[in-house]
Amino acid sequence: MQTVTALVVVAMLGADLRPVDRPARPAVQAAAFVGAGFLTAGVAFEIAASDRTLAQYAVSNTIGGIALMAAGLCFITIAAVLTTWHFPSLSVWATAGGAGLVVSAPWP
Amino acid sequence: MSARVAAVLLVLCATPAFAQDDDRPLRAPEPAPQILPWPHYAVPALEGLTMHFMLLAFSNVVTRMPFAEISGATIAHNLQLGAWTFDVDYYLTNQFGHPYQGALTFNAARSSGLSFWWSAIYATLGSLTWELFFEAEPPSMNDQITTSIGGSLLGEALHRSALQLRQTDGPRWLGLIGATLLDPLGTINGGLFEEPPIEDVTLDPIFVRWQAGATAGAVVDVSNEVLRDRMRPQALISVLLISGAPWDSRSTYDSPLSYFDLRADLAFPSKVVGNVFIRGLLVGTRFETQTVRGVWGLFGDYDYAAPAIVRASAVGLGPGVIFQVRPAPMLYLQTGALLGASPFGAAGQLDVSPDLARDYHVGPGMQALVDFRLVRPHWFQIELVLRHWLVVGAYTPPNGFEAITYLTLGANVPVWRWLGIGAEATLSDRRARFSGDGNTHDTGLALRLTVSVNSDPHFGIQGVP
Repeated sequence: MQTVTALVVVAMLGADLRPVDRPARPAVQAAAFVGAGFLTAGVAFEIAASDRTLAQYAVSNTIGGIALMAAGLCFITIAAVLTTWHFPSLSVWATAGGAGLVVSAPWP
Repeated sequence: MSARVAAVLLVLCATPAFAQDDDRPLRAPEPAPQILPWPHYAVPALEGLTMHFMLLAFSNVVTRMPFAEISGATIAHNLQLGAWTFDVDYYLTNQFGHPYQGALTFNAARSSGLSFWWSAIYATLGSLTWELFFEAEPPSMNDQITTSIGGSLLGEALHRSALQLRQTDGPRWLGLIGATLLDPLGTINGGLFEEPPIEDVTLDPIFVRWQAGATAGAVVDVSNEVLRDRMRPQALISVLLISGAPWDSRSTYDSPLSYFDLRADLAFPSKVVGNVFIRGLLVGTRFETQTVRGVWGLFGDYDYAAPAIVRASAVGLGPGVIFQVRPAPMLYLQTGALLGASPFGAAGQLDVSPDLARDYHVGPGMQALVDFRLVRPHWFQIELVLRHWLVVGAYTPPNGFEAITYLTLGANVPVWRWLGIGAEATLSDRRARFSGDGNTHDTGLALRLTVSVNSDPHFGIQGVP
């Protein structure tokens, strides 16, 4: 139970993970937004691929949609790579009385 | 080649001694760049992948190209070693499109701060992934060769040119637009990275000449005395860029293409024809005596010449030399020679539809270049350039060869400060001997009249008032 609680705490803190000391550079933010745009466009082409009126383009729309989504993910990954992330510090303790996990958030 | 260089030097050293105008010592090489943080390696890899996906998406959802309809089966087929072949794509696609694609990948790495050789690896791996995973057609050996070698040479030339523009003395926005056109990944990475990427190159002195004017030409089948092609007078723009000339003591030789020259032109609108010639020093040594100052070593060469019939394109590596001698006061002779071995070349034009079959010959071969430039600062610049390509049809039948020669004689005269006028004539000769296609002998002549803007009125000669 203790472990589960600790994992839940880690997950909650992890969900709140964010860059803290300064915002990402405008170009990095733009890369993330462009990535989101490509992802959305890719999803749109995947939907179009299932449209019967566009059956002759189904294959190319499917492949093109996947490629657009992949390009979007690449953009987002570039933005993530160039962003300063601060992960919560973890420490594990174990004594005769039991073991535990301490999670401390580094941001204010 | 080294014996030839020695012989040339011996002759030059025997001429009366004239000191160069600038006797400052040559600059020492810059220290090697430090190891970069890992994002500088990861981001260009992701950018290369992004460009692949974007091109794949464009080819599917916009142009609907059959080659882009990839699947697991096409990838599995392409991963077999026996699948590699020589494709029959358009001359422009294979000989310029692929090198430009390689240049983009190369510059993604280069503008992230990686060295020339690291970036060349990115261009090579980028091409390999494209051939294996992003095309439904069998992987093409010629694309792999031209994208890697041509892409690296073209990419480095564009990267260095963009660096010059970013630090130009003129309007910053104008320099940024020009640099972005030449090196879009450089501008993107300049914004993405927290710290400016570490540049391992020093901005070398450059000489640039822009020309605009008119051109016309014709090609004649000499054997049958038939006019094969005619280019009516049309507009022309061209650029000549010489970076890191060895006769300039400010030049440094600390990384590949510290010296390079680039010639590019575009004729339009009735018949769009473009040419790109790049020669760059990869590894070399400077030499200097009282009469001569130059550099020799291993050069890389990327040529794309696309006039009708007598077109030729190749990537190659080989020994070369370039130097300047001063035969008389205020008269300078700049000479260069290069002999390159080409793993892949494309030449000629066959009488078949390019939509149905390859309309040019392909194979390994040789490239040779000899050029002379006689300069009197503020007065004139006369050029004589001899280019020769030999392409042997060893990769695909029929057996035979293409031998193509360009001889260009040009003159440029300044009329007011940086403004000048120029005239140029190029005589081209094509001899094709193929077992299935018969023998062909074509001769062409192209004329150009231009107005030029030179980056300095003394044609890049250092130390001239």
